[in-house]
Amino acid sequence: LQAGSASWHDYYVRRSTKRSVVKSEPESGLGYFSDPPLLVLASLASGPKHGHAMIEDIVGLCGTRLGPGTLYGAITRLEQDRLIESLPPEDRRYPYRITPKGAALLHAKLSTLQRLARAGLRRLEAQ
Amino acid sequence: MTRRMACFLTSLYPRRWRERYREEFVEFLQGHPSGIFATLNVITGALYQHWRALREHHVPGTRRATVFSTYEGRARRAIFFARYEASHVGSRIIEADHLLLGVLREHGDAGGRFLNASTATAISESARSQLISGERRDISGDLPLSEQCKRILAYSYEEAERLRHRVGIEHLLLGILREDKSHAASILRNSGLDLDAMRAKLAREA
Repeated sequence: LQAGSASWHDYYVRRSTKRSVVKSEPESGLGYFSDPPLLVLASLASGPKHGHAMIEDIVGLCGTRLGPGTLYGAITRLEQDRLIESLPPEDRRYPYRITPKGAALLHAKLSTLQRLARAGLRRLEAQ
Repeated sequence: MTRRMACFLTSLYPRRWRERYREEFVEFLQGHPSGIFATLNVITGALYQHWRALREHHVPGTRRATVFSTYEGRARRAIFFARYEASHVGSRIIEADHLLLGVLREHGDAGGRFLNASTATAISESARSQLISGERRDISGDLPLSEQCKRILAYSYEEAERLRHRVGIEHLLLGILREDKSHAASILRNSGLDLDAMRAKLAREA
């Protein structure tokens, strides 16, 4: 599902951008990035958040607007793997927070991505 | 999105997923702008969860998920042993005592998390003394579970589900304890096993 829905996601992102909420999303074109579990972890790294807060935060992080089903798909997987945990609801909102295991995984993944990004950009500049 | 639409979309998800997320997902969807793309996204999400549920319950080598596919290998063996114990004494039905004997047999092999070896032996003897011996029966026959046993298995499943585990022999012990009127439960209680303490221990180890 992850790979197959990439183009569809892309479409969804552009549509929802057009419909308002976020005015400029420079990355919604070629630079589109979607790895919902990683994005959720990155969003929760700055503190507990509920669903809608995560969506808006992720838009701010990289321009990707996760759909409701995609977000909860990621939450389900992360919670089952004990990378995030739910907190008691506040005002009919259900916040989640990252666990130490989740933070460690996020750190490892982002370090890899950073190495890859640096190396890739350096190669491009060298040309 | 309207509440009605949110409830409808949530109802498309698998039952076990809904048991955990229904309430919050309905609230979440109600706060989400509606639209064909949000709707399609949720439907895709529901299909994905169904696919995951199917995959999770699939036991290699079987075509269909079976009742015991949510059981760990050790719990499955414990039930196999329970059936053996029942047929061994010529019972026509698997009773709670047989299940307890099955669990103990498996528990002993596993090193025993809640019971040490001598307690386990004492419990087995105590349970065995209650069994009415009849003629040994062939193990190949079909042995049904007693109503008590069925309830114990349902309780065990609940205990495991609460911790999001597959049913293990520890959960079977919890299940037996919860069927508190059974002879098997009273033996366990007399050996010093306590439902709340065991639950707390399992939750800590989770």
